[in-house]
Amino acid sequence: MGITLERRFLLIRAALALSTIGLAFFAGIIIISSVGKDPLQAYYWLFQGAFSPPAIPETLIRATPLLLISIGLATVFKARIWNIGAEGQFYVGGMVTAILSILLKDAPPSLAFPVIVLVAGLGGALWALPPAILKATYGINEVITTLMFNYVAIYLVSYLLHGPFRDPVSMFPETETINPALWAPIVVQGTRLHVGVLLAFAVVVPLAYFFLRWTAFGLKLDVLGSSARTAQYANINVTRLVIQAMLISGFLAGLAGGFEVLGIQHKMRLELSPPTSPYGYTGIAVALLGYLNPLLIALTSFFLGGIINGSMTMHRMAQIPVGMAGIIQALIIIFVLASYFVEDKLAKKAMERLKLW
Amino acid sequence: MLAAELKKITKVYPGGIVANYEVDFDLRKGEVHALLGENGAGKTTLMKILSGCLKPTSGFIYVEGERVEFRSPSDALRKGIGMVHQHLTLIPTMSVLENLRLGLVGQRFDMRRMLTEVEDLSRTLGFKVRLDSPVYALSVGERQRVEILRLLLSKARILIFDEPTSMLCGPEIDRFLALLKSLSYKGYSIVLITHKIREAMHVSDRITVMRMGRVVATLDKDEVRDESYLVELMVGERLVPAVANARPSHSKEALLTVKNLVVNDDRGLCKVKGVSFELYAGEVLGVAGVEGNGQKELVEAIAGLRRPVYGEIIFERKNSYSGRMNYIPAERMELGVAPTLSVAVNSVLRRFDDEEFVERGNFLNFSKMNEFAKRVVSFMNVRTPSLKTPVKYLSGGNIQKIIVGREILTPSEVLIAEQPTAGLDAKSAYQVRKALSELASKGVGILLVSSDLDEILELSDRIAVISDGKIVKIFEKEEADPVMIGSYMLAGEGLGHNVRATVSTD
Repeated sequence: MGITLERRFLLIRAALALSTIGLAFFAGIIIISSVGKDPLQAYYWLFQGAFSPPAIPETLIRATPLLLISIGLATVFKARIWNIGAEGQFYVGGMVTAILSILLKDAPPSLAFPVIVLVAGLGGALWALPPAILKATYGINEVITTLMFNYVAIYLVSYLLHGPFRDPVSMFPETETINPALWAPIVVQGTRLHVGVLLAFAVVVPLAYFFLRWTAFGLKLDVLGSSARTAQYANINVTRLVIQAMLISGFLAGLAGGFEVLGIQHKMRLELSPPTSPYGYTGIAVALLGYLNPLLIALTSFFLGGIINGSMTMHRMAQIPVGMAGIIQALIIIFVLASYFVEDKLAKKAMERLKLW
Repeated sequence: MLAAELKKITKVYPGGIVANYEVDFDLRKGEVHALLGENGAGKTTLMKILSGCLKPTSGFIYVEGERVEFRSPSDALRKGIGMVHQHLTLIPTMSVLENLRLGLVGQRFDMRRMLTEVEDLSRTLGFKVRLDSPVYALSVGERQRVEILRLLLSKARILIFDEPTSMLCGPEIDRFLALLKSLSYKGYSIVLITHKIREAMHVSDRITVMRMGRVVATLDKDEVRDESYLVELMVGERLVPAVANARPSHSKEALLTVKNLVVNDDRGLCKVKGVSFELYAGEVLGVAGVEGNGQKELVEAIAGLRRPVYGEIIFERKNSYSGRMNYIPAERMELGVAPTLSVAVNSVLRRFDDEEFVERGNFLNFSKMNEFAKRVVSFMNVRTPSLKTPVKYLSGGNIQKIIVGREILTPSEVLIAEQPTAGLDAKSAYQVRKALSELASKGVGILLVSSDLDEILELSDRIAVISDGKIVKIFEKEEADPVMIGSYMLAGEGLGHNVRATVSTD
C-alpha cells in the first residue's frame, strides 16, 4: 500500500469537501436556469464580486464576523453541543458595544477601546450562559433555547434602537454614530480592513487551532462529542465543560458583533447581519464545511464571505436575487451533512481492505 | 412432528467472533423449549437466525419440514415465526391499536376483522388490553402482551422470547410463564431464551443448553434430576487453574469499604438492596451471580457513575501517584471508548488530568501518550493500522483489548474488572488473567465481577455471591465449591410463586 491510512482518510475528506461545493454550485446552475437566467453569466459576476483582486479586502471584511462566530461554533460543535444562538450573541455584542461607546465617548480611546472590545465579548458570553446552564444542569435541549434566545436578543435590540438609543436625527432605527476616536483602527490604508480582521485571522485562528488540538480542554470536548456517557466514565466534569465551551462560543460571537460595530458600521443598526445570510446562521455552515478545524474554517469563512459579496454583485449585474446565495449555502450544509455519512462509509471500506481480522 | 429445525448452523460475525458453530436445534409442535446458557453463549444469535433477523454463515433452516431461507424478519413471519426481542419494539407514543396495526404492514387491512381477532385472542388467552391507551402508559408486562398479540395477529405459530422475564418483577413473571404454558396448550410452539435455570425448569418441556456457541445438551424435562446439573452444563467442566495463583495471603488493610449500599436502576427499581463488604489490598474479590442481580448497578455506584440511594462507599487514596480506581466496564462500546477518537487518545481516556500526559494542567504531551498507547497495543496484541486510527473502525475484539489493556497498565490502587475476558480470544484472556493475578500480588485490590464462574474460581481469594441485590455469602478460596456457589446464586432468583397454567376450557 503506497500511502498510509491517515493520508487516505485525508484524501477522502478533501475530495468530499470539494465535491460538496461542486454539487451545490451544480444544483445552483439548475435553479438559475429554471428561472430563465444564464448561469454562466451569473457565476461570472458572483466570482468577480467575491474573489477578483479588488474584491478581496471586502471579502475579508465579510469573512471576519463569520470566522469569529464559526470558530466559537467549532468549539461547541466538537462536543456536539449545538449552539444555534450565535446570531443573538452577535447582536448582543454589537448592542453592548454601541451603548458603551456612547457612554465612554469622552474617555481616552487607548483605554476605552480594549475595554469596549472585551465587554462586547462578555455580552455575547452572557447571552450564551442561560442556555448553557439549562443544558448542563437539566439537560434541556440547547438547540431550542439558543434559537429562542436569538429572537429575544433581536427584538430587545430592536426595542432599544426604536426607543432609548435611537439617534434622534436618523430616519432609521439605529444609534448615533460613535466617536471616530473609538473606531477600530484601519490596518491597510485605502481599504476598510480594520484591526479586528487582523486579530481574527492572525491571532484567533492559530490560537484556536492550538487550543482545540493540543490541550486537554480540546480533547475533552472531543470525548464529550464522541459519547456523553464515555465522558462521564473518563472523569470529565461534563457540566463545567459544557458551560465553558458555550461561554467561549458566545464570547467570540459577541466579539464579532463588537468589531462589526467598531470597524464597519460605526453605529448599531438593525441590519448588523446581512438579512439574506445572517452571520450567526451562516457561521454554522462555515464551521461544518471547515470540519471544525480553525485553519480550514479560515478558508471556508473567506469562501462564504465571498459568496455573500458576490451574490450582491450578481444581483446588480445579472439581476439574480441575492437569495440565490442563501440557496447555495443551504445546499452546502445539506451536502456537507451527507458527506459526513459518505466519509464514514468510505473509511470503513478502506479499513476492510486492510483485513485486520 | 417438528415445527422447525436448524441444522449445522454456523454464524461468524464480521470481526471474527464465532457466535454459533455447527448448531443443531429442533422445536416440536406445541412445546415450550427453553434455550439455556450464559450470556454470550450464542442463544440470541441462534434465534435471530431462526426469526430472519440474521443470516447464518452456513447451515440450513427447515420449517414444517420445508427448507427455507429468510432475507428479513418479515420473511420469517410469513412462515409463521415471530420473535419478541429483549428490548421491546413498540412505539411508545402511539396507541396499542396503532402499534398492532403497524405490525400488519403489507397485509390488506380490515379494521373490523382485526378488532374481532384481537377480542377473540385476548379472551382465549385471558388478558385484557386497552386498545386506545398509549404504549408508554403500559407496564412492561402489558407491553409484552401487546407484542405477543401483534405476532399472533400476523398468524405466527412459532413464538420466540428473548429473556422475556428480565424486565418483569415477581408476580408478573408468574403471570407471564403461565401465559407461555397456555399458549403451548393451544398449539403454539415456543422458544424461551433464558439464563434463569428455575424458569426453564418450571415452564418448559425440553431444555437445550448452549455454551460458547455450541449446543451442550438437549434434555427432556424429566431427565433433569437437579438444577445444579444444569449449572454444570451451562458453565462447563472445571478446569485446573491456568494461572499460577500463588500469592502471599493478602493483608487486612481495606482499600475500599462499602456500607449498606442501596442503588436503583434507571427505571427506579431497587437493584442493590443493602450491600456491605471490604476490599483488601492485594486480593481478588470475586463477585459471582446470575446476570441482572444487581452487579451492574453495584459496580456503577462504586465507579461513581450512578448515585446510590443510601449507604457509603469509602475509597481512601493512600498513594497519590497510583491512588486511582481503574474500571473495566462490561459495556465496552457504550462506556469504555470514545469511538470517533484515535487509539492513542483512547489509551489514556481516563487520564486527562494526569501530569504524565497533561503538562501544567492543560497541555497534552503527545509523545508520552503515544508511548503509553504503544504499550497497550503490544501488551494486548491489538491489531490496528496505526495509533491514529479512530477506534470505531477496529473490530469489537480489538476495542475490548484496548480498554482492558489501558485499565490494567494504568497504575491503580483498586481495579474493578467487570467481565474482563468476555469476548476475548483464549490467548488474550489468559494474558488478562495473568496480569490481574500479578497486579494483586503487587498490592492492588481487585473487584472481579464475572459471569464466568471458572474465571472467578481461578483468580479470586474470596468469592462473594450476589443474588437479588444482596450478598448472600462470602466464601474463602479454600471453601469455595462450584456447586455450593451455584446454589447460592440461585437462592434469590425470585420464583417464589408456583406457576399455574391458566387454560381456558373452551
